Amino acid sequence: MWRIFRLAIKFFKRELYNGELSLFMLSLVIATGSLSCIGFLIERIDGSMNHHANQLNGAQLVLKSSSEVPALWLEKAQQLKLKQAKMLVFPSMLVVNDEFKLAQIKAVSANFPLQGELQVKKQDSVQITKAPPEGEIWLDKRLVLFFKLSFNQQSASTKKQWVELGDAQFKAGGLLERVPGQSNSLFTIAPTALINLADLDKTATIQPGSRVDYIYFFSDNTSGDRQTLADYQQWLKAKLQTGQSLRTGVEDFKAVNASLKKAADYLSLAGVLTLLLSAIAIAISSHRYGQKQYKNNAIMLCLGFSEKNILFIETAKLMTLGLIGSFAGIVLGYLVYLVLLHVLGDALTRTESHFFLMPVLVSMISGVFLLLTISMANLVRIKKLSPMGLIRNELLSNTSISEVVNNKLFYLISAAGLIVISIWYSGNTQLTLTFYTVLLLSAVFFYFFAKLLLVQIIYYGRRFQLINRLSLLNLERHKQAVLLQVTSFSLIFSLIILIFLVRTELLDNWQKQFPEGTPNHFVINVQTYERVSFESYLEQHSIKTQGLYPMIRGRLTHINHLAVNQAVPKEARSHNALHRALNLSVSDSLAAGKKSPVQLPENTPISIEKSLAKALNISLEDSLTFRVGSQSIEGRVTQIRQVKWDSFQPNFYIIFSPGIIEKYPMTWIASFYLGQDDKHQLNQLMAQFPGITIIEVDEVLKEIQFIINKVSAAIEVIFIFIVIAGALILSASLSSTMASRMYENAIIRTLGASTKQLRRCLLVEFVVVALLSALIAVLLAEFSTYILYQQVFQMAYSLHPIVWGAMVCVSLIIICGLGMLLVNKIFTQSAHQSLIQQME
Amino acid sequence: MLYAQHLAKNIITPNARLDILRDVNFHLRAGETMAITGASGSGKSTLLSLLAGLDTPSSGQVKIAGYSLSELDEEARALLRQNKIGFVFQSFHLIPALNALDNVMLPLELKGQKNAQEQALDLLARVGLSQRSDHKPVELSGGEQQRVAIARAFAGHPEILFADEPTGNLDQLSGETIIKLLFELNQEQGTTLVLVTHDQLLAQACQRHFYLDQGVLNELSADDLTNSLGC
Ligand SMILES: Nc1ncnc2c1ncn2[C@@H]1O[C@H](COP(=O)(O)OP(=O)(O)OP(=O)(O)O)[C@@H](O)[C@H]1O
Ligand SMILES: [Mg+2]
Repeated sequence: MWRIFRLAIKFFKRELYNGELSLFMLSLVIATGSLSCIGFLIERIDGSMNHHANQLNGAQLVLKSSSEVPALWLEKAQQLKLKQAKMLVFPSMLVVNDEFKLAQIKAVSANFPLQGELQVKKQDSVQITKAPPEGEIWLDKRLVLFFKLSFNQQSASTKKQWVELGDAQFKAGGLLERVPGQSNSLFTIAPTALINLADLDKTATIQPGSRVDYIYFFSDNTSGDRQTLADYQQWLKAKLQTGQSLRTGVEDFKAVNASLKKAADYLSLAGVLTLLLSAIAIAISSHRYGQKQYKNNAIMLCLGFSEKNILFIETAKLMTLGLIGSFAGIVLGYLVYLVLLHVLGDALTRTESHFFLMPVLVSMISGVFLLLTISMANLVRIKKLSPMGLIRNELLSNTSISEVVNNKLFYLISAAGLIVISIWYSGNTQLTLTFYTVLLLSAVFFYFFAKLLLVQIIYYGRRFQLINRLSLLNLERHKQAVLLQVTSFSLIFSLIILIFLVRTELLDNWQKQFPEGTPNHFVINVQTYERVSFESYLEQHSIKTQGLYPMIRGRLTHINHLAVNQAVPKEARSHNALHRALNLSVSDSLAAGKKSPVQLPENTPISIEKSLAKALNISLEDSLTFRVGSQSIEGRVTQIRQVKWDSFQPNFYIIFSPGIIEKYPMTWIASFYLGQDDKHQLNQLMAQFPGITIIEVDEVLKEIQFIINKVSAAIEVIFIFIVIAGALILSASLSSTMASRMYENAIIRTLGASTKQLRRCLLVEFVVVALLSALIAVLLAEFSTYILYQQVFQMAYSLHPIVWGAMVCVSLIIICGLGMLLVNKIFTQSAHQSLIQQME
Repeated sequence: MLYAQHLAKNIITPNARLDILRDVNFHLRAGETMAITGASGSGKSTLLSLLAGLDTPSSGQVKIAGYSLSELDEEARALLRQNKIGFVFQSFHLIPALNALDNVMLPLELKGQKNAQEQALDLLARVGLSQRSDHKPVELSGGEQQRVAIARAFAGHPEILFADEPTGNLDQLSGETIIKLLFELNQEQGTTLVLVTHDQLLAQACQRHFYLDQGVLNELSADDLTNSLGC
């Protein structure tokens, strides 16, 4: 066996040296290179998105409690070697020079934040740091403006600025620019001040019975291992009591969540797509290699090698090729990725690690696996024939590529393997399966469609003499080869169109989602009698608002007169909506959405949000009973509404038609936009309307916008990369599929075909291939986009005529241009030379 | 009809210079038949491809039907090949994807002839392959492939036909059929024949007989022939 193995290595070396393997190797390197490069980028972006989510939370896992948690819980975390930080949040009065202001005090442990950036401005420079040192207090913009403090160079050196909090005095040490973990105290009523937890006792502000939120932050010690944290989370979850909640990622932020989910889906799609592109490249070249090797193997069989020996030699050779090729590809991909990181700079640099194992594994496994199975599909055929039969068929290796869809089993194995790898890689079964099903079904359909079209082209071309005779003959005789090219090119094109459309749609959506002036402050508890003066106040100060919405707090108690707990499905019993008061509103415009045809006068029509209706199994015509204060109101569902949670507008789960509900005590809610420099207006607003509560989401919004900008940039990069990979793979497959045709063209040339004639023939062929590919690609892409939008991305679909035109142009330019360039080689040499060369 | 003047071909390899042909000179009139014999590797196939304009010489020139090949551009050479020259390759070079009939039809189609199919079928019948017209080259034996290649060379009604060992793979009977065919063509249409062969009988049947020895071409007189045959 060792002898045979050495022989295999010898063959391999020689073939590599001769250049027989170079095209094969090249496509393998390109395929695995783009796969790994895009894989690295995807992992990186994924990490970056998590990082931003952690910025919002301040840690990977956050436990919020209304009282001190049992010491055991924290000891357990310590045992598991998790990093911990702690924050106490409570309202208290700050005093500066006899001016009083209610603030939300956050007392943080010294290692806060575990994740994310705490930015504080001191003496003109913004620093990224941990908790304030003992004796210092850091204040947000509103407080700084209110107390007329400043942190310039001079003022800091000339006079110390003191802030009193309870019994203690603090030095005003800095202006808070960015505090991680904002999401944990989103509903801040008052402006924020940050102190060190060690100073808390001195202030004596916390008395028994004070309202304090205890927030505990946990993170992994090592960046890679998520399991420990997940286990701990599971452990904690079982112990939670009322008033305690756990948070990871961005699950509570519907706006961020929806955006990030789309981004993550896009990345999964990009990954699967690159994998498929690479697979096409590897398949086409393996296929050609297998055919070529077939002849050599036939001869070796006659020389006395056993079948087993030959298969062993081939396997060893392919493994070596696969390993070397994918390794080279991965190294290349990694280098390109490093260059990209450098070029992109800030957009992607916010995670700890640069290197990821997943892309390496996927590139390696799919490279070697596809190479082996697809080459073998051609090689195992030698088992079926006698040596002489093989020699007789010797010339098969020069036959057009169409001859071969032969060993179905191996193709089946490679296809199944590809799908499994895709699912594993993307981690998104639904998306992957949807994608492949759609693609496969439509590819089969469009293959036959293309065949039909080709026959028509030839028929009408002949009938009306649109195409010259020779080109027609050429097309007719190579129908199969042309169809194979059309199939693979249109597949490549359609994948690129697909990713382009999804990318454009996503970026567009996001751009629209948070336009300039998106409300970043909410005001609640505006009393009905204050409403008019509140509105005119906003108008006077030219603060833009979308208007005030009435709001009533009420608990859902009955569905169809059954107590909710019995009425809803088992798994919905723990739904949040059943355990807290819902915000109900009134609107007379229950127009959009599904509407029930019947309106019963005795019940107020209700509109309910779609996901809530689904979770609680509520359908049209169901009656819902709410408890507001001590009274019950009943309504009948007449509308199920889709709410855009990824917009920062006041949204309500339940909206009543006007009539009954106004009789109950209601308050008003409004949202408006305030720039960073106008924050002082909040102080005045509070002074004017002391009863209102202001919710500042500007920090969160800023963070979300930041994430979206970064993710958009990343998505752009991925897209450009897929286009480049696609172009490379297209050219590799073009040259592979043309290779068998070159010999033929060299022969025809010796028969006296002029270069011009041959060129024209080939050009006609390329034009037909280009047009058909473009047409099929567009159909394929539109169809799969339609399905993906419906099933995965939940985006509205419309046709994209501009893309059609562009596709036709691009296809003509690439296929004709590249194709003519490729075949040019047979025209630049003497007829004899090119014949000899193409024979090999 | 066919002139060769100081024709030479050499190949520069990294290690050495390989002189395949040195100073080949001869003149062949229209309608003459010519045989080239020589040891394996003596340069016969190379000479043939130079004469037919499939390859370019290192020096010297070839004149064919009044045209000097070196003065023609590739376009004109192709036209010349299409209209005046037929060529049978030593290794046939049939197009694998096409069946026998399509292979034979190709030169006719290149010329744009109307009744290409009938002509091609007729030619296949003459080489004894009318039954195999829809078979691909892989499905044909070596000799059958050779006959298809000959039929293809005839198809263009060439004024001059080059054939590299046209009977090399054939049994006695088929070989004779092919030889008969070649000379019929010569008689009926005045086609000039240039044949490379190992077959002494075929060589003798030609009016002129050349011997290629390590790249040097010598014409054998009738005496040489009798000597070499030992009679
Ligand atoms: N492109 C080339 N590169 C290197 N050597 C070549 C090339 N073409 C021909 N030769 C060499 O030139 C010599 C003559 O080749 P050619 O094919 O003309 O021989 P031949 O007389 O036809 O032989 P045979 O009777 O075996 O067919 C051979 O030694 C061959 O190796
Ligand atoms: Mg030869």
